Amino acid sequence: MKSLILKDLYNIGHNVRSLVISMIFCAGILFFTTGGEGFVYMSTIIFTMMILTTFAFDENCKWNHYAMTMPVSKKDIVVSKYAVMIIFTATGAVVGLLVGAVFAAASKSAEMNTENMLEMLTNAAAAFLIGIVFGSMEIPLVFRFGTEKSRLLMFVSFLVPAALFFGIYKLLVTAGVEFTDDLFLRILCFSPLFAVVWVYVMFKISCAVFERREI
Amino acid sequence: METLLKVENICKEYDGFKLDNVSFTIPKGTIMGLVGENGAGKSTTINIILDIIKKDSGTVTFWGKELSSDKNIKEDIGVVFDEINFHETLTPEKVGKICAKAYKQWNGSTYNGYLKRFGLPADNEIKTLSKGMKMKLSIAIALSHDPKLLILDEATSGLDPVMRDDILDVFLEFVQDEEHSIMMSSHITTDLEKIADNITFIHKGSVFFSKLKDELRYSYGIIRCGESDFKKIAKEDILAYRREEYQLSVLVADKKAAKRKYRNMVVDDAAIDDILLIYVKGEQVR
Repeated sequence: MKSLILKDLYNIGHNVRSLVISMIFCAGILFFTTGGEGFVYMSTIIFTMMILTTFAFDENCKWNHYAMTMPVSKKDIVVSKYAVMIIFTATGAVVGLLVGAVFAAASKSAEMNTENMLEMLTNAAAAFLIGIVFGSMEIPLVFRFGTEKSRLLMFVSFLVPAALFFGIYKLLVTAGVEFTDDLFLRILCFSPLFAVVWVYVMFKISCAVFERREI
Repeated sequence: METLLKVENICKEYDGFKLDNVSFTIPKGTIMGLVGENGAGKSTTINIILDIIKKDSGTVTFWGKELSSDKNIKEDIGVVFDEINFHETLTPEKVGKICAKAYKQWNGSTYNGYLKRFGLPADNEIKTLSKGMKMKLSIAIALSHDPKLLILDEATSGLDPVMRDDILDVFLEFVQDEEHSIMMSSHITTDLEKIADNITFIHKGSVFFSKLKDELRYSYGIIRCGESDFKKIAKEDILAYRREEYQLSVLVADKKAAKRKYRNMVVDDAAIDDILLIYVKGEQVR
């Protein structure tokens, strides 16, 4: 499985230059609009989306067909894609955090104090969780529909979890649950657990989809 | 002779195509050529053998074991398809590092040796290599994890004769020690005539024959004749025939007997291409 991860990292390594250019461009826009906070989310999502690019590279050279002749299983291929997606998302969050810190330090309006730092760390963690929830939904879509159709279906990966969480929120409000700051904090503390369960379910779906698919 | 690969009655049905009870064996130390027209089922057979696509029925065993039972068997199988399956921005050096993580049996010095021998620059991106060089890289990868069996699907297609000759030499070297075997599907039957020991002919999803190449070369013959002479040939002597514009090509199983029996007719040697054409485009008698 290490070979599959290494292959994706080498493949995407070639795109680093264009990635840096687009990040600088976005950073420039966000610096004057939302500040460092927005950049953390944008950076994380851009990095997460690179998993689609690795699938596109694989499709172009019929990699999966060849990989099945190596001592790896279909499950190994799925595991490697999730591992690479998590690596990308974590890298995006860290890059966003670092650039955001530079934003904050350079900006006259923001002071670099402990509270600000904590807020930025929370944003980076939240961006990471959103990234892996989105990315883990994207992977079974690509295994099922291929890269091209999945690009079109990408909004589904955003909409489904968002609609699901909004639906639960509305249901709880209707049931009379009051969303206080304390409750929000508790939900925030539980969000990593939600993310883990979500990723696990999506991983299982990906395995089932890919197992049935003829390469 | 010890059997390395045994394919028994594999079947697979798609819309408009059926692979029907395909069976053959590959003994140790031999090269088997898989021939057949486009869409005959060669690649489907190879993909089923490699467990890339699921068969409807039948068994495939390597050294007596099914591939699905132990993925480590794949360590002993080198595979080359008709194009390289690594992304074009990778270099042979990076490909080597990826494969070193994939195969326990990977031998870096063997790989570097092949890169040198084939004149492949280790740090040039794959997209800068010619088709022949890419194919050589695929073969270098396949040979560098000490496989016992090489499976080649149209690996020499699109290469010039010099490049093909170089590659065929490598394949002959590979089977020299009588421990290794090759299964090679190819449209270029002259390549198979040079190196194969056995020829398996797949036609419309079924194995038409699986025979020693020498039996085809030394026993089979083609009588070239006109309509009136054709009527004089006993039906039991004819395997298949093809009606062409000015003559008939009649495939016979015993060339020497045909020469004795039909003295006034021309009996040519049968090349694999001729046999294939008569069966595919002509009429089969028996």
